Amino acid sequence: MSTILVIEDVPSVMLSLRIVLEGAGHAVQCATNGEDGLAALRRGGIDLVVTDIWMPGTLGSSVIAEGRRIAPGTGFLAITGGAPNGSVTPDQLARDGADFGADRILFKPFQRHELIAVVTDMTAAPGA
Amino acid sequence: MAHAESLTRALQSARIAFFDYVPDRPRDPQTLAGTLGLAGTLEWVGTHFGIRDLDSRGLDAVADAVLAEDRESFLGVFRPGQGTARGGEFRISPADGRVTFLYCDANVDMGEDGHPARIVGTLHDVTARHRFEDRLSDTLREREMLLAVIDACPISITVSNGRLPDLPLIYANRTFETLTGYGRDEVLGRNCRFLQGPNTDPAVVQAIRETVAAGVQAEIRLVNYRKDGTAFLNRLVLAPIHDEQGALTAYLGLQADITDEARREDAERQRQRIEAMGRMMGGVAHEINNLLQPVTLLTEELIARHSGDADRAYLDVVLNCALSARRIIGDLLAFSRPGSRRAERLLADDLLRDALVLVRKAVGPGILTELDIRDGGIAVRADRTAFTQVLLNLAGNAAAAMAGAGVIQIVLRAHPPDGAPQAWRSARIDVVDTGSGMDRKTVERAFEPFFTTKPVGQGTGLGLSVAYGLVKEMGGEIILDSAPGRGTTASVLLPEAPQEDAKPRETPKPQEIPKEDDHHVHHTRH
Repeated sequence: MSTILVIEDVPSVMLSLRIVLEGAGHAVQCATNGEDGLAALRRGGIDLVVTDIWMPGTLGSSVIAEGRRIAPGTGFLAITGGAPNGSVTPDQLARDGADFGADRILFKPFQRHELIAVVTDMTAAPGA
Repeated sequence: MAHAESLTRALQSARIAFFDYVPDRPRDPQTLAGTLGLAGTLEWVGTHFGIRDLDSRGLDAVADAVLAEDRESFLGVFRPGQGTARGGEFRISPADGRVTFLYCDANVDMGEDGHPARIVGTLHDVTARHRFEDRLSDTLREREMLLAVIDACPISITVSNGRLPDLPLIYANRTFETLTGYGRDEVLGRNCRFLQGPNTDPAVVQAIRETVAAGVQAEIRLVNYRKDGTAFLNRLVLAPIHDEQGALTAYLGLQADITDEARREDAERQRQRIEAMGRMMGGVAHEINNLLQPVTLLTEELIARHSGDADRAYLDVVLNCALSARRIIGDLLAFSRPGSRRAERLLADDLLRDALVLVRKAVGPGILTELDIRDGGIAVRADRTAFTQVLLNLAGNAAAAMAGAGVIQIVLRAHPPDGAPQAWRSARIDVVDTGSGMDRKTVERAFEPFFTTKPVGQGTGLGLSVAYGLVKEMGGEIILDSAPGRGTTASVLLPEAPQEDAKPRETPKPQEIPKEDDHHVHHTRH
């Protein structure tokens, strides 16, 4: 069991992530924006951060950059469905090998087994 | 005496002078050669043309007033020598500085020594006439120059006579001949409608008629035909020329071949449309992806909790819908935002053979695929998966057009054919079916996302859009050639890839690929 911080501005997405991750036996903390997420990281005790990229306020990529400074041992999983203005699409990001500074990336909408596999992998890694 | 005075006044006002000149007889003919020989008695009646000291100095005063360059003409009249009727023109510039043109008409009485004994004549101010002639020749020169300019103008120019019924052509410049292939003698006297042909829009012809009837200016685009029968898109500017009373005298016509320009504009419009569509789809995709995320995860979560449950089948339906939606969004993005795939340099024939393995499985048992490799060994840069996807989509459409039974012919050849002078070539892959075919309007819309002719529920209308995006990404293009009842040929053109160590060739521009016939619709047109 690990402690996972989920940063996601869309409530229904947040709900589904929390349900699946809790179902897989993890403790889940929720933040609906980047600033709240970073505050949670500063409090410590987070094994893995799952963060959306395009959010109002602080972008997920900034959260990851700042978060790595705050919590060097923590793993970062980016999740994205492309930019709201259409300037970037998941399709493109996947091909360009974009990672936003994260250790892993999942493109929305991903399936339950994909999420669980990546999270299991990341939380089992030594030193994570 | 009153008589002489009125004569003088009359001559002055007419700017005419009468003279009677009796040269001094040279005592020694030898000295004559060294002098002007103008000494003598001069009687002068009429205007002095501003010449001073005429009365005291006689002809010398006149000689001094004559412009240096006209001195010869002047002397020609008064010089001793042969000739009894003498005439000449010379300019004088007396003290007042004005130049006056004088015409001199003289009659010479010859002396027994062969020299003039008496010269009687008139001098006439012809300055006004000279000015007029100068202006006239200027005008003529100007007109000739204008005509030469109009004739050499790189715009086709015609003039129709507006006073005659049916506006026959009265002028056509050289560019008109070059543009249309008609010689001037063939067209003058005829109405310009001989340029029209089968594809000329009758509505546009009607618009021309209305423009001319109203005597107004208009710019009109219409399909015209050259003498050799080839069509071109003509941007015609019609401009009326009215006389001072406002009556129509002529119609000016400017013709420009904008076929290429229009094609480029169409291609650019298409590109912009697709780009705008791409941006919109990217934005929509973001929203839909976020919406699909909880649908997918929560449905799967429920499926995990309700395995063995009778309600599970319903959850499977929901999940399948969500996954289908995800696939459609992915396809849409592949169309709208081609990125850089892992393109490799591969032989087109290898690529085709590999792809066909999958295609044969996909099209179903009723469809035969025939592979005809006419030109092998052309290397192209392509992503295997993407190419297979393109071929799958094209073959899928072909199979659907033949209602699931028939032969799809797949032909690979060099384009342009070997030996053609082009600096580059492409691998051309034709996917030929003998199905229902498409009319022009359908062909024009065929690459639009969600445009489909298949019944509702069969096909998303994304197949060709995706193929378009993928082929474009490989630097190639797709051309559709179709007619109802004749079937469809979809041609994929992939530019030949140079050897890795060779100098990079110039990438072909899509519009440089020639159209082969009228039914051949280039995807960037319309």
